Amino acid sequence: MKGNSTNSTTTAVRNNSNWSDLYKKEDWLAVWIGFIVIILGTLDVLLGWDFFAALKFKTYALWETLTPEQLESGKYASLGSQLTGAFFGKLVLTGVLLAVLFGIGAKLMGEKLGKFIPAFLVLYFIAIIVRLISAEYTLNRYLEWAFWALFVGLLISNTLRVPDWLKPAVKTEFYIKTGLVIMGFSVLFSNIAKFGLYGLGIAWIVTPIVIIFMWQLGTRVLKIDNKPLVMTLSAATSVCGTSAAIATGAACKAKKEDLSLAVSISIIFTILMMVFEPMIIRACGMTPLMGGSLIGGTVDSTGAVVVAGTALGEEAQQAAVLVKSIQNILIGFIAFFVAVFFATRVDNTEKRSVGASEIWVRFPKFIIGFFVASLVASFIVSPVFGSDQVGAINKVLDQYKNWAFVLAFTSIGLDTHFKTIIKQMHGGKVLWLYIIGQAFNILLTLFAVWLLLSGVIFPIPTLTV
Amino acid sequence: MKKHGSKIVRVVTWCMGIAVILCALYIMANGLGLVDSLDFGAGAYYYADIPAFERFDHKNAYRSSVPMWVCIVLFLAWGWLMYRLWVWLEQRNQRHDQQSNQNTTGKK
Repeated sequence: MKGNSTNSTTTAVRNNSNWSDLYKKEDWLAVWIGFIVIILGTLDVLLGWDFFAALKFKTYALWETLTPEQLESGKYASLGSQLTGAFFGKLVLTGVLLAVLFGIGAKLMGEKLGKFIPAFLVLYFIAIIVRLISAEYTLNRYLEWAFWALFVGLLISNTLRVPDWLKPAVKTEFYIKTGLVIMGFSVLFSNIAKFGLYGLGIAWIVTPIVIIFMWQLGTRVLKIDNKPLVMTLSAATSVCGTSAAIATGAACKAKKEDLSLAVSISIIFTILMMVFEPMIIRACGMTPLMGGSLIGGTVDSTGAVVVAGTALGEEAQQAAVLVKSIQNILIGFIAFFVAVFFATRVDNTEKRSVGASEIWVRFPKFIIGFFVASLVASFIVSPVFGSDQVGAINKVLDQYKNWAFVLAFTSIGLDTHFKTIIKQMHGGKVLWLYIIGQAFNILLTLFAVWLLLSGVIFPIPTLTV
Repeated sequence: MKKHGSKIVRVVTWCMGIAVILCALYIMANGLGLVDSLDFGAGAYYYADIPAFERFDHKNAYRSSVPMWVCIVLFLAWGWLMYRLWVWLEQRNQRHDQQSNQNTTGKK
């Protein structure tokens, strides 16, 4: 009886996968849209079209006083001076391109275009407001778009009711998966050897141990029954914050509230760690090489890593960047293993052996797109056209990735209630999971840093700064 | 006693949460932790979000004598080993849960 049941389930799963998935299912559509954007971005740079880059606000100050050097650098502009014809041209181009690509995707998934496009344009308008807020001098430095997208979305959904006509555009997973495929192009595998075995030892030995530790802590000790939430928070803590949370959350099919909670906790603690970690390192008298490596391995966001590393000097900054560069490439691998683990262990509630075909059916296909993009950038585009060209392409693509994620996080906010997020805190257990997990991460990274860089066992490496 | 303990944990958790948020707000309000010469901060989540990231990422900052393929092999080997450990732990957890459930059912 049990055998029959198993067979019928397997058959059903197999029947659910066919060729039409390639142009009807969200995962594959995200892959194709991501590839279209990558191809256009690549051609834009290599052929010198120079028109494809998406809209980006320059940083502006509302209440702060900028120094004359900052004003002369050209990186800052008053809000009013940004609103030029070229600005509105970019605004329209970005909106139209995203509406066309996501519109085609939505249509292929069965959505009516007449309903999707107006709703999408309103969502895009909200996303513009989010990016406007997150371009403000102080807000830009500490919080940026993911936080503000959630905040604005939550504010709308919890004060005004989200109208039904807007809901066809609220497609969180679709935007996230597309953004991740685009992001794949920036994950350069060659970074793995940048700091030799030292970097590998600090970034890669520690990361999976912290993930397993937090998984055991969350599911066994704290008994948090929401496993995707535990997984998403573990990846955010051990890898690189928001980007890792987005990738892993999508890989283990975490709920919207899980992702928003993991991202919010990671962002808030990153602000604290960016300030206090260099202070403590300096007080302990650690060498800049060890201090920078510790920062690179433990502070979540890359921006905070560079800033905190710089606070300790040039050598520390370089060490921090090297270690973080390795962590940045871990995102895809962690997401891959998490997807396989959830397909075979967590979602497989009957606890039977799962064949390759069934793993394939359950496997989130956008991760394939992420890997293909990463491999093409690392082993084709970079060797043929040079790493500078890859950097220029990624500068173009990064804005599309950010727009996709802003649309996703705004959608999460629009679709979530404060009560649900508070419920997801599991009475504060999630906060303790992060705090204990991060403390373990810091201690283990400190041990790895001491072992490899103190000169007690291995020779101290020399960095050129 | 247990109820009393959980109340203390809840209070401590709330205090911790509020302290963290207040501390983050204080840092932001006073612009702490920033470096004047850098026009970004914790808000740049991913390296590609950092303007001109290449100026921090010197190509030859470290010259390794270990070939890249060795790093790749070690990377994949450690990843696979850790994945197997994770699966083994999870299987053990599930067996433990099953036994506990059986014991509970048996007692009833």
